[in-house]
Formats: sequence, structure tokens, C-alpha cells
Amino acid sequence: MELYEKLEILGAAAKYDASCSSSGSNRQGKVGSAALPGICHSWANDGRCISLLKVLLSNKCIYNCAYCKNSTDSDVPRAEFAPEELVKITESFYARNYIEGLFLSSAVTRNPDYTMERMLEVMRLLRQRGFGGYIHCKAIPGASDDLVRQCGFLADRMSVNIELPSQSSLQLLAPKKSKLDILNPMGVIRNAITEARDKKSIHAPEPFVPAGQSTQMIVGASPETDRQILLLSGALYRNYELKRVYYSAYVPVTNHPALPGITKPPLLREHRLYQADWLMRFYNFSSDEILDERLPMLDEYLDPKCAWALRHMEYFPVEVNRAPLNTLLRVPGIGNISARRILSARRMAKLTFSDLKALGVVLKRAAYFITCSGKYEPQLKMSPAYVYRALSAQEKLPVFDAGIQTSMFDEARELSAMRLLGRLQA
Amino acid sequence: MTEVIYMTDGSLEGLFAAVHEAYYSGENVVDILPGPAQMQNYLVQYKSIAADGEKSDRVYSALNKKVSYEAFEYVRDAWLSELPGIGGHILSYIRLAFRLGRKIDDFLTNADVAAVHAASYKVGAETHRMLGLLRFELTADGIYFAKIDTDHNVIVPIAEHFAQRLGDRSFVIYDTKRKLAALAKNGEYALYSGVDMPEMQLHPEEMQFADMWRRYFDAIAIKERTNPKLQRAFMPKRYWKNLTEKKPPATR
Repeated sequence: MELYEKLEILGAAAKYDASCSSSGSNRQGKVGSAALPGICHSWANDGRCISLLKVLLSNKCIYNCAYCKNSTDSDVPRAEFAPEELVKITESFYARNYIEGLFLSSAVTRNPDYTMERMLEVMRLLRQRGFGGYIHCKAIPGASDDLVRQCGFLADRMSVNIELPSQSSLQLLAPKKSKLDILNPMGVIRNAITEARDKKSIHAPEPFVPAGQSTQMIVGASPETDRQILLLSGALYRNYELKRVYYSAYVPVTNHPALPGITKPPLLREHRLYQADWLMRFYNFSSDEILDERLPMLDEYLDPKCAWALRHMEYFPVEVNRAPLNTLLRVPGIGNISARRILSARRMAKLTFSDLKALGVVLKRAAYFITCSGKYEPQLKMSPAYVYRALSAQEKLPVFDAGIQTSMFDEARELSAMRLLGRLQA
Repeated sequence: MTEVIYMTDGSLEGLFAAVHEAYYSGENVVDILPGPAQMQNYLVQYKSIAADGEKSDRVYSALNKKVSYEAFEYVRDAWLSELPGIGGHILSYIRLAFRLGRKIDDFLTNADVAAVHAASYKVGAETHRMLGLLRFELTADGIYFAKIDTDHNVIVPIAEHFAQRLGDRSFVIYDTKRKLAALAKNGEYALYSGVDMPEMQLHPEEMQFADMWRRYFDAIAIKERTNPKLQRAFMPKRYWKNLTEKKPPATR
């Protein structure tokens, strides 16, 4: 088989992995380096960024997971790279600045240890040849702790996919993977990272997964609510010190009877989950305050921060000339950058509404939740239902081709508003 | 008092020499241009200022010592933006900075501070974008060659990044719009202006890798999620002509 054919097959086979980040590391090799903020090199026709050469080493899988295109039963062309072949492609692509490094994953061929060893071989070759680019390596569930640790000394980031947000869904759709198989390597990586970090003070240690670890779960293939998903993410951030949790809208690839019969991936839901995830990581929201049991799904028509604010009007209005950073960050329309700009600018002068606009605050949203020197923006109309309509009208839904007609959209939006504002039983 | 516009060679030394001149001549300077004026206004007086290392050093060290290094960086990057009117904002910013000291960069509600910050942000953003979107081609002589055509004059920060990253590799980055070329070898680079670059003979292996990359590029997209609008939002069409995976087949 020609090399380009292998690349096509094994690239296509890896495309459902959402992560492509190349941030968090500042490695410097003989040829190549990692850039701390990460660098995107291209954007594919689906609009997702391409930073790393994302490929499987092999797609000849011994497992038969229902949601996966590479399962034993599925009828796809199979291929496998020799480690030297993948090294050659990686180096050549890197030299032309197509990529920032390698995202190395694999189907489980023969057994987990064999698979992990082959991946280790690729990384070893690259690093021996002086390659300083970014490497993201998947840990194969079931591989020995020692192999996982060896990989960590060569990779910048590692990840183990949690795949499905609950043990019961995992049992149903991926019977060969258990929760323990997944959480064990995650724990091994976390412990080794902590160990390497604590050693730092004595002498420069070998860096272990300097960009930390991440994971991914599929959304919409199983019945979990958004609240359950966010609680799980929150726990992963806390207990496993993950850098990122990725959410991947389920794309139907097989006809397994246990899978939902959808034709389009739930992209809007995925988008809302990412927004909620941002609230946890950059806005100091805890995982259990974004949604409550009464309302366990994220609002379709409103971003999670607006939805939270409308249910917690007791926090508002916020006085922008006095409020501390954390309070400013809770205001819809004020982001991390504009909040920090407010802190700087108000040291020099009292801020007015037009100043806020110049600082990058989205007044169309923020106006309902803030005062400047004790006053609301003049002529502001206010009632919870009015605000819901005004805010949701600003949402850019068509990006996902919602395909809903206007009148139906209005009706559905109205129902959603009443639910959120507690006027309907969910 | 008559409004005066200074014209420079576009370099940072040129800008600083102009700032120095504005301070000591006492003229009513309203703008500093990175080149000759395109259209002259009858009521305005135009004056060419030569780059001057000594004057430039004095402005640099005054900015660095009396204000802050960050303020110097804002000025340096804003100047690279080549945005209309930015020279005037930079001059006002520097005047204000010498009065306020390091607090200058908190004064975000001031129009000149905001303009300088916004311009420097744009330059930073395009630089970062080009670190990803720049494409090298291997020439028959074993040199990695890249063409860029950017909104702002970002060849210097880009060349710095690649010189640091690529070790002993030789490479050339050519700005087709500004006719600037950065030639790098062994981690160091030099900038040349007024360069007319001849067409490069490519290495026999080059087509093979470019083709492989294009196939990979198509394979990695999820068909069910096709979203050209989102793609263009991140990767505007004006950059496609130098992009291996996007340039039209006839120009490959």
C-alpha cells in the first residue's frame, strides 16, 4: 500500500478525536519547539482546527465498541504504519510548517501492551532524532502502568478518553472497556505529573507530560443529562487535575440497536457544553451551580452564563466601578479580558456606559445586569421574560443550521423561556 | 499653527527619530507615516525624517526607563500595524506616557491609548495567525522558502519565531507585498528590503509531500459537520493563495 493511502485511512480514522490543542509546553529540540500558547496551522472543511498531525498508528482493532467506526465488525479499509514511516511524515510535515507536532493514537491491535509499545517506539525515534515539536499521545486503556509512564517522558500531553459519561452506557456500548481501565492510566499519569512537579525544586527533572492530560466524552450517544456530564467534568478537573475535557457530538457511524437513531450530530448541545465548561475553567463557576436538578439540560436559546444570570437575579445589578473581579466575571457580556480592562481603567477614571463599550464589554447583554455609578443605562427595558427574549435574539444559532422555521422557533423559544423562568414544570 | 506630517522609512529607528524631532522642533506634528505620503494635503506641511540610531536610542531608553518596557512593546507593535493615522496616535501616546509614567497602560478610556493598544493587538493576532498559516516549500537548493502577504508588517516577529525554532535549517521568508525578505541560517536571520525574488525551483520531493498534506487535509474533516463559514472565520480567504492545502491547482 502506498504511504499516502495509509495516511488517508489512518487520518480519517482519527478524525473523531476532538482534541488538537498544542498548548502548555515550551519544549525546545534540535529541530522544532513547542509554543506555550499553542499554534493552529489550518482549519479543516468542518471548521475544526488542525494543529497536530492526528493519526492512528493502526486501525486494526480487536474491540467491537458500538459507537466506533474502527470496530472489528465495521467494513472500513484497514492500515498500519511502520514507526519509521510515521516519523518520516511527521518530520516532513513539520519542516513545511503544516503542523505543530503529532497526535498519536491507535486502535488496540493484538493487545494493549503491544499497541502502547509501538506508539512508544514512534515517539522514541522522533525524540532521538532531535524532534522538539509537540506530541500528544493517547494512553491505551489496559496497557501496563510502566509503559504509560515511559510514554509520559516523551510526550507533551497525554489523554485517556472516558468515551461515555456513565458506567452503564460504557457497559452497553463499549463492553470491552471498563471504567477502571480508563481511570487507572489517568491516575498513573496524574501521579507521575505530581511527582515530577514536586521534584522540580531540587534539580531540573525530566519533564513528564508538561502540558498535562485531557480526556474526551461522546455526547448524545447515551441518555445522560447535561448536568450529569458537567458534574463528571467537574470531578475530573478536581480529582485528576485534567487540563481539558473535550465533548464530541455523536456522529452516527454504525447501526447498533442500542444507539439513538439520529441523522445529525447534536452540534448545538456540544457547543453549549463547551460554553459551560469555559465557565468552570475561566469564570470560577462550580460544576453544580450551572444547572440544577429541576432543570438538568442547558438552554438551547441562551448561553449558559445568561441562563444562570436570569435564574439568579439576586446577584445583580453589579456596580462596575466597585465590584471585584469574580463578581464582574459573572456578568453576561463581560469576559475575562474586558473584566481585567475594567479593573485597570477604573483606577484612572470613573467608568461610564460608553467607556465600557470602548473596553470591549458587550453592552447589549451586560446592560441588564450592571450599573455605572449607581445608575442603569438610560431607557433600559426590564422584565425577566423581556430580557430572555432580548438575549436569545442575539444568539447566533444559524451557524449550526438549526433548520427551524421562524414561527416554530419563536414558539419553542417561548416555551424554553417559561421553563427557565420557572413558570412551567420542566 | 501649521499641521505637519513626518515621513519616515518605516523602520522603528525612523519612527523614534521622528518622535525625537517632534519633541525638539516644537512643530504641530499630527501624523508620522511609514513611507512617503500617498496623497498630499495642500494645507499640511510634509517633512522627511531620516532614521537616526542615536536619536532612536534616546527615545527607546527614555520610554523603557521613564515609562515601562511594556509601553515600548505597545509602540513597537502598533507601528508595525501600518494602520492609517497610527503614527499620530503613537506620538500622542508617547507624550502622555512621559507625563503619566507606567500608569499610561491603565488609561484605557483615552482614545490614543486605546488606538495604540488595539493596533498592537492586531499585529500580535496576525503574527500568531501566520506562525500557523505560513507554509515552507523545499527548494532544489535545500532551502525552505515561504511567501507571505500580510495586512500588517509582521515579517520580523515571524522570522524571529522560526529562526529560534528551526535550529540549523536555512530558510527564507518573503513578504510579496512589501518586498521584504528574511534570510535565516543557524538560528540567526537578516532582513533585506527592496527584494525582487525570482521564482524558485522546487525539490523533486516537494510535490509528493504537498499532495500528501492535501489528501490528509480532506480526510481529517468530518463530512456531517461541514462548515465553510466557520472555516473562513478562522482562516480568511485572503491567506489562501499561499496555503498549500487551499491554493488553486493552477498555482501549485
